[in-house]
Amino acid sequence: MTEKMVFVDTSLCTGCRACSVACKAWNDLEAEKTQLITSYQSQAATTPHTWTYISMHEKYENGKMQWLMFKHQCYHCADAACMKACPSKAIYKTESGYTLIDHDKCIGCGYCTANCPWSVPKVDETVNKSFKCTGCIDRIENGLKPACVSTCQPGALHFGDRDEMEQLAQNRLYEVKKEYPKAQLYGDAIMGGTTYLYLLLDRPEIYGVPSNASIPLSLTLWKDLVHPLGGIAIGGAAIAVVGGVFANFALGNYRNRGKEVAESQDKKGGQ
Amino acid sequence: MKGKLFRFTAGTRIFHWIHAVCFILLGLTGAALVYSWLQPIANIFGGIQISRDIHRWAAAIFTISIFVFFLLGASGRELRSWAKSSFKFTKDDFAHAKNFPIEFFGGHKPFPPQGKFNGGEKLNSMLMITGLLCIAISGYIMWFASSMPQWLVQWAYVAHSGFALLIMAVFLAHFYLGVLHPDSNQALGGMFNGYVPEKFAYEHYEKWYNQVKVENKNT
Amino acid sequence: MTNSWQDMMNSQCFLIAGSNCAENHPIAMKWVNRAKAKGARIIVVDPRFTRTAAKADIFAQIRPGTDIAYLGAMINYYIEQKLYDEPYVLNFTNALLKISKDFKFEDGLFSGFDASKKKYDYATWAYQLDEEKKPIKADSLDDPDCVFQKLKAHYSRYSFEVAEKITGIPQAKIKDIADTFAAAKPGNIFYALGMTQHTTGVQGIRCYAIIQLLLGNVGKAGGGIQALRGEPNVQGSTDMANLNANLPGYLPYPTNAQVTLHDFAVKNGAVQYKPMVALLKAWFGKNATAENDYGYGWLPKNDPNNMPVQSQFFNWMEKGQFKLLFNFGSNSTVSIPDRKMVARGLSKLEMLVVADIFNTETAQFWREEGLNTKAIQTEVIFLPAAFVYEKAGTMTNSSRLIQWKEVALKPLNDCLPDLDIIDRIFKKMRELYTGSTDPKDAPILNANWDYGHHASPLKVLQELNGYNDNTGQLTASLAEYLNAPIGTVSTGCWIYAGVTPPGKNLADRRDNADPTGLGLNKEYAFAWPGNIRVLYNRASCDANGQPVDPQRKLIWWDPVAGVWTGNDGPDVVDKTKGPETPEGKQAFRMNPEGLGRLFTASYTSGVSASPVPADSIAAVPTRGAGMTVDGPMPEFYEPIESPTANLLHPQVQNNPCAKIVSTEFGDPKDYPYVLTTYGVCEHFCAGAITRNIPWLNEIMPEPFAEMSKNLGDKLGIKEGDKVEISSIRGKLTVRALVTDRIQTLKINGVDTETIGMPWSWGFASLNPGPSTNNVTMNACDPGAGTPEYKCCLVNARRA
Repeated sequence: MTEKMVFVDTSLCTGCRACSVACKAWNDLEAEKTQLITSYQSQAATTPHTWTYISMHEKYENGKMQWLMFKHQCYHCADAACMKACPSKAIYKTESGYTLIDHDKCIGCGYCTANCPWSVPKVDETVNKSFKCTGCIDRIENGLKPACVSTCQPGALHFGDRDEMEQLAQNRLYEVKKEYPKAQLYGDAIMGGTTYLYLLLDRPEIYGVPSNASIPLSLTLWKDLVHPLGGIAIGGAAIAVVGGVFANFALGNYRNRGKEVAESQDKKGGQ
Repeated sequence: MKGKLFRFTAGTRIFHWIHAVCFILLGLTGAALVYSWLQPIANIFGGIQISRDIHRWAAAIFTISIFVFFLLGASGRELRSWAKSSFKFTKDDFAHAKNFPIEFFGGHKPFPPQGKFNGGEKLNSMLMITGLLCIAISGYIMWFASSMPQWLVQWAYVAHSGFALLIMAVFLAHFYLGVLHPDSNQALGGMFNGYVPEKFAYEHYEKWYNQVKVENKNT
Repeated sequence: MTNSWQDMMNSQCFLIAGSNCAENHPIAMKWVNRAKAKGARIIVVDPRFTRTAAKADIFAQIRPGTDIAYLGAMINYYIEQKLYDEPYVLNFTNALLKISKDFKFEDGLFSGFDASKKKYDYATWAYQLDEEKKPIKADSLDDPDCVFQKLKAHYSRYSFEVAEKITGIPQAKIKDIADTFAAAKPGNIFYALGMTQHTTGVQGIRCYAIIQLLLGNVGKAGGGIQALRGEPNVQGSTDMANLNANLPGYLPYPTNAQVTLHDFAVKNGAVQYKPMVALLKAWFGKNATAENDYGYGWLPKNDPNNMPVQSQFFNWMEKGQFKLLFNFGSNSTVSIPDRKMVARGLSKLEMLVVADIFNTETAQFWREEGLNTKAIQTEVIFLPAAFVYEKAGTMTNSSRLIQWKEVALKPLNDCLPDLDIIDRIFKKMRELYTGSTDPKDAPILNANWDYGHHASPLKVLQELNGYNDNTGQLTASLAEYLNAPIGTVSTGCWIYAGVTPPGKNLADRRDNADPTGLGLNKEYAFAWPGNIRVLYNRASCDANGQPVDPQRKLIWWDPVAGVWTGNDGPDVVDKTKGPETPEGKQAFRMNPEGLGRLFTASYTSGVSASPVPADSIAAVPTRGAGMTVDGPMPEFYEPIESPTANLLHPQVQNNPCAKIVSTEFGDPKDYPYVLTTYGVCEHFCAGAITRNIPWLNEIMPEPFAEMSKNLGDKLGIKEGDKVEISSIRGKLTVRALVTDRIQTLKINGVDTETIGMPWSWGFASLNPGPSTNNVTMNACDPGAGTPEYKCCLVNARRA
């Protein structure tokens, strides 16, 4: 399958949250007990049972109100930090660009959660498996749009081939910039390019997401430096130990020591 | 006991063996968790989730035992003075430690008289104490990741892995010297019944040997 | 809606005022966004910065219930600045018609007011008539007697400055709204309950009609006035007569003064006579004959002096007026303002039958706090009903689109579709009445009930479509019904004629081809009347019958073929009558003058000039005018509970005709804040369904009160705190949302605070919550009977 993309046009999103309900309906995810947090928002993070949600951001400046909406879900990054972090090799990329978790391999360690710049994957402690948006891979591989896209009434979500969506996003950016000079795309320049590409009306920080999301330095250090060095250390130690045993052997220390012991026992016996 | 010197109290010895068992369990289960190719190790324990539980239980026992044994009467004093002395690295300790590679491979070079713990041991203790503390702290950060700042958790992974690997290397050396090395493995008895051969003590810890001899005379 | 959902993409400008479509009609935004992508401007006027406002180019925060003040200022501005579409106004509106010299508007009252009855006599709101009893046309818009000058004089009091003082919207912004809306044509207006739920609801919408007529936006693609209906099939239920002064197809309900069918015809005109006969034939079948007045005598008659609005029923119940209530899909215990009257009323019934899919608050009203359950004798019967996807039939959406659907799922257990429930009850009742000679039982015994052994919804739709006696078949089209002699066709709802021609069900069509790109989708389902997608589309053409907007051609006169034709079905009196004929000029054929009414004059067409015998058919006029009972032109009145005095006429504070149901009213000194109530996207109406859906409870878990940061500071309330909202009628405690989306308004120099609360919660369901209608006020619009949910006075404190 060709590379796919979902274009999230936040300028058209009305925050109705039909996407989050459609996601739960299609993926059979249970509802969670919530309360209002701020604006009309009652969900503040992805959970094992909430794979997508909308955050609402109120901005009042110079007598002008803005109410910005942001759809959170897995970004399906080209350079997926979760995949790099996964110790169990449970996370993999599809040809179409999606990042998926193989639940047979997932051990529920949560390294994906901690290393995702947006903390998207979440471990269900009852089954010890990590869960997140699958991009509705089961739908798209059967010619359907993802559940969130197909339910979006205002037309804020678009699904299609990657190049086509990128072009659409560029066109929309050009239009929207006339009214919102700070408008920008989000996703194309981070994490090797995400599969969910956003058109934002303002800086990513206003929406509570990092503009410079990247694979954490710690993750690179951990996987690319510490592990090899640690391996060398252990390997070195092991070789040294074996070498030591051989050296002692060659030097006759074991024999001598045996003699010494025998001598001391003789002495004992003598007394 | 004749020809032997009393070196470690029962508390210290129990503490050591608790830590030894926990360490091996933690090392094996940890390795199974962090390297997919080592996941078969987890099967020894009955699977990856049980391994994870074992890792956490062992970690808890490991850390709780520190508090317990460091606060006990005689062994507490002994352990506290051990920990304190480990970080007092003197010129004499250095002189001992610099010959360590030669000793390691079965050679011998004279060194100045050593205290209860010689330079090599102090080096081992320093690495172990520092490393294990870092592993423990980072481990608890990972355990309770959901209530920790994300950057802290991310760096905890680095610390936990890094120190674990380092300490495992140190452990190999410790195991070799304590069990396999024809000379220094005479110390092993100290960890079983508390006594080490006098001769061995004299050769390796002359200062301590003298000190004990004086003390024994006085009593 | 005059137009349709898809047609919204043709608009250049939207005035969304009294609708929060992004939240409550999400589908609207699909088409609005398409228009916006083509450069359309969006204006939102609302008491709160809603999710719709978030998409607006211009947002104005208004004090609830004051729309007529700024809309009046817009009308004034358009007239003063000559921004109206003069050819349109001259050709298609009653601007030139002369009004009676007795018509007056003084000190807040129109002429003809009877203070004791709180009603107007419409006599002085009449046109000046010529000898043929036809309205006299002025030569120019400058004639002091003509409608246009009356309009001009009436709205001259509505300056931007006055409007600012009343509404709280800055003058400059009102001017910006007026300029923007006049400049970008076609302009579209959306309204919903934000506009109707006032004691001046109908008049607010009349303002929209006047503005759209002045700007020439009615009858055009992308123009018109869209009533975004509140439920998927509420248009259908309105078509079937859910107001007690209507019969299906918006026929006037016979009153007790109209004893015979002839009396009815004299009063309501020949145009109502024909559908009435057709309706009686549908209802009584073979038992309806010319000899027995088609069974007209079997219809119960209304007493116009004793016509309660829906919310008054419960007061009447409490007084013992009712013994039995059938309650289908309504949850009055949550939804009626000043709701404590509901449970009090229901507890006086002998029997309450509730048909619903969930055990609603109404079905267990005795659990209401404060009721003495032991003393309640009401027997409650719960009939488990099928859900929407478990029953076949039609749903008529806001676009007047009659859409057929099949059963998707079999109903669970003993649940039944409403039709089956009613069918079984009726058949059993008729069985019990068999042999009765009591005249009051005659309607039941004579009714035509032929929907089959197992009631077929298609047969019901076919009854609505009607049958033609001459062919013995289903009526094939609206034209066939209109052309058939009286008494030879039946139809259960004349506007549905043509939906099921012989052998077809046009409501079941699903071809969404759109060859014109105008979103007409003529082959998709069936829009009443006659599959016309844009009502009054004659007005999209000029005097010669040619489209004025080359981009958006709906219909045109084909002079060669001598017929009205086009992309849409022509909404004309007669397709063969050209633009030069009197019929061909009419764009508003449902009005007696055939014109758009800037002034709702009392007028009946076809009244004979010379005296004729009363029982002669010549005595039957053609068509009467629909009236706005509280004035021929909209006038601003304060809501019944208001924080301020009426700036225009302090001695007439409120709508003088308003129907007052509540008995307690708060003083602004004790209840200083204005409360406005509404629904949210995540819950539907009284929440009977949605509060039982965990996924919806998850995203909107609880009711709340929104308030400005100023008010939050004043009351010491932070976001997330609990706040107690109280009116003189009741109170409730909810979570507070302290937000910039509501700002303090300056009303006539005084800081005024607005509080917003959704109302969809009650004491039952998976997710119970306190009901906002504890505090709201029950006073109704005199024309529509809609209660003023949108404004009342409350106090607030940290709880």
